[in-house]
Amino acid sequence: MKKFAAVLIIAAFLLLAGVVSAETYNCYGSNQNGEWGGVLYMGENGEVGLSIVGVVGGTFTENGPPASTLETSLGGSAPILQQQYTINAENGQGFASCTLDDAQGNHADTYVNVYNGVVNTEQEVGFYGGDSGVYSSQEICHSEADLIQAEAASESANGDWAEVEAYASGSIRWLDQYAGTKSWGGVLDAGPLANPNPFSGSVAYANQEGMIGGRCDSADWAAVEATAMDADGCITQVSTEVFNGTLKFDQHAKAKTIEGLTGVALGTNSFSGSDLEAEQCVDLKGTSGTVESYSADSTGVIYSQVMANFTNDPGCRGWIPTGSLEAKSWAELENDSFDTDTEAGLFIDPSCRHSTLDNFGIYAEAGNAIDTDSDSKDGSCRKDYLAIAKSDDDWNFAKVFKIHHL
Amino acid sequence: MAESVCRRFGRRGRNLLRRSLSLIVVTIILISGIAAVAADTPVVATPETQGFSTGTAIAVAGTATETDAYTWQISNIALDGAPLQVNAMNFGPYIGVVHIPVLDPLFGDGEVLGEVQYAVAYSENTVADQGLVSYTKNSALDTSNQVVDTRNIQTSKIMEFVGFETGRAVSSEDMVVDGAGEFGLAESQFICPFASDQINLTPEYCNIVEMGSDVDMTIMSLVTDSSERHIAASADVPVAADYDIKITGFGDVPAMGSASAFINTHIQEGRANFFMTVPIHVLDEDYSVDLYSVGKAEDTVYSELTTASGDITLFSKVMSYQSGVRRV
Repeated sequence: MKKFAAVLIIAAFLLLAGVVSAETYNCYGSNQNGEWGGVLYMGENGEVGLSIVGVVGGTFTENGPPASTLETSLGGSAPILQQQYTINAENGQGFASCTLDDAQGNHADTYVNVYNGVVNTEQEVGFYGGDSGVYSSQEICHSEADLIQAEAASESANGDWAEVEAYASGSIRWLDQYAGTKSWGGVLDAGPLANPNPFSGSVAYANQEGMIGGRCDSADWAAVEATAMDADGCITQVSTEVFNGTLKFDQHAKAKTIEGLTGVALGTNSFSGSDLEAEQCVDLKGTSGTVESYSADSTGVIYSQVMANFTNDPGCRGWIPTGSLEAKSWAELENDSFDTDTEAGLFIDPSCRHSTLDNFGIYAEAGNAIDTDSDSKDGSCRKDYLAIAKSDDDWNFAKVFKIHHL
Repeated sequence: MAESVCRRFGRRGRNLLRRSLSLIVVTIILISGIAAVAADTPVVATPETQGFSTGTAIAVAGTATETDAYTWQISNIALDGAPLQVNAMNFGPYIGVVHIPVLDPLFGDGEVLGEVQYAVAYSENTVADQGLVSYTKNSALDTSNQVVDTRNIQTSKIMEFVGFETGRAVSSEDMVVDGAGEFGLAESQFICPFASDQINLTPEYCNIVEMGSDVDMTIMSLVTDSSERHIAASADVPVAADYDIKITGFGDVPAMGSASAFINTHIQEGRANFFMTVPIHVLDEDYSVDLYSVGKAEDTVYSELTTASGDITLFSKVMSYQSGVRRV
């Protein structure tokens, strides 16, 4: 009995000694030019996370809990690395970033860069629980600078990626960014007469929303963009830009790929496909701006695209928004080995009835790559496409320049 | 003088003494010539440099004294105390070399320039009383960059002393080279391209060497040389320190008294091995942080003390210290 207990104790000791635990290391440094800090995370399975904050000609202060790491909780998503800072770089520039890599090749990072101003940021990167994948997110609020650049991005080992970017010359009232890539696989049970159906897929999400410029101020320039690309190289993107105004927006881009086998009693068929979606709702006020969405295949052929440029009246004075529009744009692509469906649309609703908008243009295009798509082979292509540009003739806010129908 | 020596020792006594001293001499020669190895990186000279030299010659029947002391501290960044500055992310067992252009003013575009500080000291105290004294010394100090065969500090001393009835001479010298350095990017420190091929980062170090001697004689012919180098334009030139002492008598007359010479070293060296690159995708730019696993990899303590007392025919000790990635 004693011998058994001794063996048990030794075995437990060896087991504990063999466990590789995650490690976290903190860093702070300064020199005559500024200060920096960071956290290095070394996970149990080869994960490496790194957070950095640095200011040249300024200071940073931690908000909330200090830069820290949290273990992933099984079954759910949890941040691995997060940091929350106020970066005061009124006479210089500041940078904060969180990045995460795993041993499988998944990568996520987020960053903010501020020039001559102050930014409040909360960043985190982590893994999806259950599925394989990584995500990054960032929240920015009440920030003002000559220039703020913010990004969240994720890239999977399969090659799909998602990215959101925001630029503001002026103030950011609030901004939420999120980018994630996730892959999965499994077996579908097709019943007693059929073979099991293995399948796998991956998806990339790029979402952001926010308000740049505020009720009492405006941004000299602001641009936001969300992009997603699937594992096959198909890409979808939404973007918006405004000068001398404010921008309230909600953007989503998603790229999804799935492939697998369908087993039937007489044989097996393979299937694969891509699903791209890009959608945004924006409210722009300013002297000029652009709203654009598009989806394209891996060769760069644009399947669907909408774009609107607007220019305000040259007599616009000061920051007061003399033009305003709400726009919803979307570009979608469903592409599998049998069919390709595209849809593109733009809807513009003028919300300011006292606007003096002039030289206002809309360009909208939607197309179906019928010559290159495999759907022409079996004739089952639905050839559904849609392009909408709506204008209010009474106010003559918009003019449709061109619509292509195949 | 020779007559007084002969009166103290008969011929037989002198022969016995010579045989016993010859053993001492051989022993001393065998343990001299210490060459310590470390990896200091010299400091680049300040924009303004100084140089001075002194020459001293004394010939006197009576008393002569010489007191020299200097302390020299220098940093490649600023002498602002601890800790040493390193323009990189120091995570303890890992060091992060940052390649983020917007933070170049903090990190120098990845050209890590860790702080290096040196404290160098030299002192001599000599008192020769009631005797015939011949003392000659040359000292030179140059704060400019040196090359392999030149030194920042160099002293040479020759002292001959024959004491009267109660006359004696004491002379001590002590030289310290104390250096500590943080990480540095090898390719920005070496002219030799092969040096940076072997290492990416010069590691941390903290090395101190002290050498000197102490004599208390009634009759002697003493020669000492000391020199050190810790200022150079590149790390190709190793830090060096040398100290030699030689004591003889005059002709058949041995030196009389006691003599000692010593070297004390404490070498602490680190390593910096490339671990991985952490990529940071910023907009359309690829930034990165190169991680190196670092740590203390060597700790060596060496001390050596050689003494001789009595009638000394020869007391000779040569000590040499050289520390650098590329040594010659």
